[in-house]
Amino acid sequence: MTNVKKLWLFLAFLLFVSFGVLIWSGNQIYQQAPPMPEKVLTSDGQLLYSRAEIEKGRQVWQSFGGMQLGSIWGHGGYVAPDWSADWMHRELMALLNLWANRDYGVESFELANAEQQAALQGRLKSLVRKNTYNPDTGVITLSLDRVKAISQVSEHYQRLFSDEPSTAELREAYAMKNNTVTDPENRRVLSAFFWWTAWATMTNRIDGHITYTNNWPNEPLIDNKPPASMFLWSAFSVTFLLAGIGLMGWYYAVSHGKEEATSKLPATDPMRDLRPTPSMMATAKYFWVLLALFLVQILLGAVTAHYQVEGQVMYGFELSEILPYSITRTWHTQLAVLWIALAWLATGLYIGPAVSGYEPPYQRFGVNLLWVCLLVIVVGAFTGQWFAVNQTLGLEHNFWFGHQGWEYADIGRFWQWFLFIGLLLWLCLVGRSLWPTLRQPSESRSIIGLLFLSTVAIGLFFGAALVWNEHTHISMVEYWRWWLVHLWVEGFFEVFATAVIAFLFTRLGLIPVKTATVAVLFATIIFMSGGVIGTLHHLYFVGSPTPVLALGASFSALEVVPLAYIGFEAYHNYTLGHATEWMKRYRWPIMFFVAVAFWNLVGAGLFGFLINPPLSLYYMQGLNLTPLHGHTALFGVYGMLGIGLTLFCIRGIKPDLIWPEGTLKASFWCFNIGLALMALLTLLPLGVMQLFASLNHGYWYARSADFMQQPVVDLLVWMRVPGDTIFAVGALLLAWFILSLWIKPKYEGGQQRG
Amino acid sequence: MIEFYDEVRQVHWLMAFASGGLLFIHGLIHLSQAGHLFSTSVRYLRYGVDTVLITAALMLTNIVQQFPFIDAWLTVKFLLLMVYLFLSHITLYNTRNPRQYATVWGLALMTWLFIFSVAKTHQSWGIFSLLF
Repeated sequence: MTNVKKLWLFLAFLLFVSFGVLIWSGNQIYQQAPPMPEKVLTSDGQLLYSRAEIEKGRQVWQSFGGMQLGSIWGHGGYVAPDWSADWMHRELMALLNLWANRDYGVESFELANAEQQAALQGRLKSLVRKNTYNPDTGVITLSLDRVKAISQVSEHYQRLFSDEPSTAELREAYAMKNNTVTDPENRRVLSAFFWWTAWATMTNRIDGHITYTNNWPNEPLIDNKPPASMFLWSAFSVTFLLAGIGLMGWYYAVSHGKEEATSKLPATDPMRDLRPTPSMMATAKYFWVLLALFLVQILLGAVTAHYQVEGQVMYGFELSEILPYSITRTWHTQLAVLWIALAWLATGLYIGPAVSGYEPPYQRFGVNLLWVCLLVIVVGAFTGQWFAVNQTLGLEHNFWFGHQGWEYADIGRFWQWFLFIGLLLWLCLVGRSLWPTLRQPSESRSIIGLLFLSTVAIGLFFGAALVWNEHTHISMVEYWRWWLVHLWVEGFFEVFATAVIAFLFTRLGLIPVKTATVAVLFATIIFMSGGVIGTLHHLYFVGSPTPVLALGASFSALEVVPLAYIGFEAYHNYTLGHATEWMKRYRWPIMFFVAVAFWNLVGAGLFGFLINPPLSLYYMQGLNLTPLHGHTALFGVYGMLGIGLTLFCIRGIKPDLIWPEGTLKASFWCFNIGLALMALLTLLPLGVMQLFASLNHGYWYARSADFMQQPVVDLLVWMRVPGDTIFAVGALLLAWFILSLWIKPKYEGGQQRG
Repeated sequence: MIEFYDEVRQVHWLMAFASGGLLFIHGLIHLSQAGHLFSTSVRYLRYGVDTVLITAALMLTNIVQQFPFIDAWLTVKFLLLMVYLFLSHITLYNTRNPRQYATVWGLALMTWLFIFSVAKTHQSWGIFSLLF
């Protein structure tokens, strides 16, 4: 059996086992998620909330943007508070104040003496951590004191989501528009949903001593602190990482230098004489559109960041009435995925006929049709979200055509289906053009097969977004949402990135096909061994039981192992960029590939592992250390790759042009410097400050208006301007570079053509 | 942010002087053909200074709640800033001969001086407002 065949078999076995474990974990979460009560009753039998009200409250939350405005269980936006943690703290304080006043005659808990405070806290802990849910009847019973506290908090929230002047300052601090929820009844049921999410964070599991969210968030008032299992699995997680690095080091030591070198490099660019087919030429418009989307995404990012200092206005203009924070953040995050995905879709469509030399019938029509469909999806989905956030769509239409509120999966279900069908069409188009090559036995069949399989996985795994429905339990929605987000970015995207770069080098004749195939298959095995089960590290605090936490901690640490050695890949790519004279033509696509490796180490590896072990994430989830990882990994790795691929394809679409390399060089460095400044001047220091606040005072405080409105926080947010400006200049230069290839092309040899 | 008003204002002024000063020095180096390397480093320094200058300006508008297109003198300052950036860009890349360079460079410096006078007087006419 050949090496390649063995690797394929091992990969198949690994995926079978890994997905088996992932599905088993999903079943565990399903079985042990916090229960959704049929009724919430007071101890004297009055109905406080019904299941229908709590579920309707969730729909209301989703309709104004859900995770895009504040967060639930740590997942979502960073300017408004985490509603679960905020509700919990307010409810606990309301109870303490009530008792301090009644039992000790003082106005508030703070005015009681230390002994009294300790007594009250003890009583509080035993009251709220006790689980009063009856699984047989589906009823949660609450004491009258607690109901009083809940009513107080509910009133606060109902005022906050209206346009009441008493909460105007807080709305501004949270970047909420006035009348975020216009209907008073919807505001009431919204608070029921928030209460339920907070209840799950402070109530012990039945017959257990930790809460449904594994004691998340940190709340000293009721001793919500990391359970022992979290320390244990965090320590193991670091140990696994070190073991993985050691093993990988051994592998490199053994195999380094044994790769088969290309005996003779081509004298000329093998892709130089490639004549683009009509469908390959038709992909050009994908690149123009992705550039437009990228620029709009940056603009929306600037507006979203600005809302952090001026909650409702933009330099004196009342922008939140037209484009509230919730919508700018939604579009900003969606566009990030969309333009990067567009780069990859276009690359797939370009590469298919380029590899096989075969232009299937009506291929160009298919490419054009897909492009139109994608435009319709972007415009349609975004319009629906705008109407939803402005509360004009109505709850009955929201799920299908409005805003689902699940970060990165928040377009309406109709648009998700449309996009899924579009991705299937893309698969067909790429597949039919590659088919002759895939069918023919050849050395390169394996690497092309892997590349195609990763595109199939990217397309099909979007289907995970279609699994949940309007009333699926939030823990299960989270489970499936991370199938989509995590398995894309830390699974199939990684495979696609590795395969496509290696494949391009084989087409250029710089590395032997066999060497590339083995390397890519090996890398895929390494990525997938941590990546699939590693999905669970996003689910530590969404109602998962301890075994799920243990699996997530152990396997997600392994995701970092290949990144520790990515310097090899960066150096290898850089060397290949200088391998021959004609490789100068590909200097900048390759520099972007080198940047991919750099940011993979820094953004995904270092900043990712910073928040990865359960104990770290317990304190850091939803703080600015999360966007630190998000920005540097998503743009740093996949954005850079998207740009690199775009440049590579454009080199083929316009093969005879002289590139204005100065513009591209400036763009490249602006991107890297801008991203580094954004991370180092704002996100990292602000995240670290929040971490201290979370450790010292509780998670709620790190996300509170009191903390986030400090002058020094404002100053740090302003410090984004230099980095963001430089980054934006980079994007403008890139756009200008690509535009100039069409509007004022300079041909090799100086000749001008029509 | 009002707590940092003095510091931000000082940075703004400092960077404004640095911007004008570097434009002046860069022009002299260019006209005297005193060395490409030094000229390049001044160019990159100018980028850095202008970025910090704009950041400080945005922070100030937010602190004092005065905005271009609402307050007349800031509107003038903003529009002239665009002119200044345009002229500066030409001095960096688009001049064909020393004479053309000197003209654009002189215009950029005069624009800078006028922006300075508008900032100092808080009047749209800047230095010329003293005449009325």
